[in-house]
Amino acid sequence: MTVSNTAEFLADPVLSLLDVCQSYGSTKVIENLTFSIRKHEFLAIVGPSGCGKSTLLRLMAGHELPLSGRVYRTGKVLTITQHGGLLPWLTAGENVELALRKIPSRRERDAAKAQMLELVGMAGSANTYPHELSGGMRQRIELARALAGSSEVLLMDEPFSALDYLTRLQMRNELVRILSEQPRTIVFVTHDVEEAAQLADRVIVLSARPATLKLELIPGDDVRPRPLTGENVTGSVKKLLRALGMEDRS
Amino acid sequence: MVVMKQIDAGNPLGGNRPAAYRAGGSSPIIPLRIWSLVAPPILTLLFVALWQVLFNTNVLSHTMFPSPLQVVHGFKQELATHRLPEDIVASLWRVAVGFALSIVLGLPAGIALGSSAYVRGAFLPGFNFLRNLSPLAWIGFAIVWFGVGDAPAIFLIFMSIFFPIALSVSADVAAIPVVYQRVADEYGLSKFERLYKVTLPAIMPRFVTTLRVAMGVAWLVVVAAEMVAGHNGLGFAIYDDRNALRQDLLVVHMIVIGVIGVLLDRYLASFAKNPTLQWGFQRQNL
Ligand SMILES: Nc1ncnc2c1ncn2[C@@H]1O[C@H](COP(=O)(O)OP(=O)(O)OP(=O)(O)O)[C@@H](O)[C@H]1O
Ligand SMILES: [Mg+2]
Repeated sequence: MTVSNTAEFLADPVLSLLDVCQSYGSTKVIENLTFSIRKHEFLAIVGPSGCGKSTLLRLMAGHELPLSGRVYRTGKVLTITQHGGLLPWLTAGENVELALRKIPSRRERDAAKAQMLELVGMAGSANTYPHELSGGMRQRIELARALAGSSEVLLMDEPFSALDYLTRLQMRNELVRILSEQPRTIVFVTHDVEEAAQLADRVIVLSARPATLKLELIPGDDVRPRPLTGENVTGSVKKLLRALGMEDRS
Repeated sequence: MVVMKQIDAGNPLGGNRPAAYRAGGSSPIIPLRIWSLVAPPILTLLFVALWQVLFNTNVLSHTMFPSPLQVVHGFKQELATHRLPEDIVASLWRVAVGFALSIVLGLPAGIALGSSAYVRGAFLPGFNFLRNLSPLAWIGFAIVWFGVGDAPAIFLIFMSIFFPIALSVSADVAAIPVVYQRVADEYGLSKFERLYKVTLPAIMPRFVTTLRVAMGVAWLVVVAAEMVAGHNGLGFAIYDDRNALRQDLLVVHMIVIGVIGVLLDRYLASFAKNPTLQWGFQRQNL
């Protein structure tokens, strides 16, 4: 067994994986993954397509059980899905309310809902159905719902992958702003190494299927989102690409 | 010179639904909405006129076919005797009870079948067997058990639509995307909340279609049931017309049955206009 970040493992993490393996039939998808996540850490996970990132998040969320190994959670986790997890028969506002059902007073519930929609810049779309929204707007609503759910950990599965480049840049700023107002522990799966380098406290690179831990990287300790052209980002991008098998010939 | 055609105008369905692909790309002279309103009555009138002409010119044998005018006359007679409204009410009542009973029992049965592989494993073969059994096969029992009147017709309607309703609901429940169940898990929905916040709304758009199909079958079956085990109702009226060799009334009752069938279907189809069901009728427009 290899335990990376032993210190963090001991320092009361909010989510830990210990020697986790997962297979579907004879297909090994995840092999001996061990790592843990600190409270309010922003952990990015990058890896080739089909390597098992979504599977990893399902294991973290408890939607499936690992073949072997352990997943430890200290509290609730909420997922922002890769392919859209809003309930299409509920309006954007009603979807957010799903997370606020436990608040008994109607007025407080409405206030919390309005606050969350405001936070993600969707205040005007409370009564709109998901199919009437753009992909980026849907992802904002999903983010608002997850934030309203007041869980310690948010699992985000390529949340910005459907967005165009400029919107994605904007959403990175937004996410940092939102997290400064509503601190959360984030597990952020992405294809975009630049995004990982700009946003994350720590980046984990997974190998092709079966996913194993290939590289762990701390892009820097500066203010996020780190400047796109800054040394921390460009340097980290290079290292991440190399770990993913993309040699940079420049 | 290259002529550019404007293709983004004149979509009668509105912007968020792609206009049907038209090879020619020309815009229609009459908007589809008006055309669909005007064309069917015109075609009907033409058909009736042709029918009357064929009758007057003796192309249609007078002993085998009534004329449109005879049918109108028969309709007036039927209205005068008050039998027609009574027959309509009797048939509608039987369909309403049989339909309601089949939904009240078929919806939960379908949800149970769709939610649990164990329930499916036990009951699916039996349901499939009964679904494939023509309801008319039960007529012999229906008369012996229930005599003549409302009960045998209701029983036959139930036997014809309960199983298809349960089976189609079960297929729809089993096909609910797992991501919605996970949302329900993560946000801690109770069993009851899951039912009315996830399962029921998720199947509702398809359920409207199931209801339309079931109503169509029920309306067919009630006529057959009343012909053999009725003392009133539209099916019995048809049976009566046949025995009395009243072909004019036969046509009157056929028209009434068809029109009511269409109206019932229209009514059920209007449920699909509900805004909470719209997601289920959208074409992907990514
Ligand atoms: N239910 C399943 N049954 C069989 N194989 C599965 C199942 N789910 C996932 N897989 C396989 O596991 C592998 C990992 O899938 P996963 O969705 O976790 O990949 P991913 O890293 O999220 O990919 P992407 O970057 O494209 O989203 C894939 O190769 C897929 O074929
Ligand atoms: Mg994935």
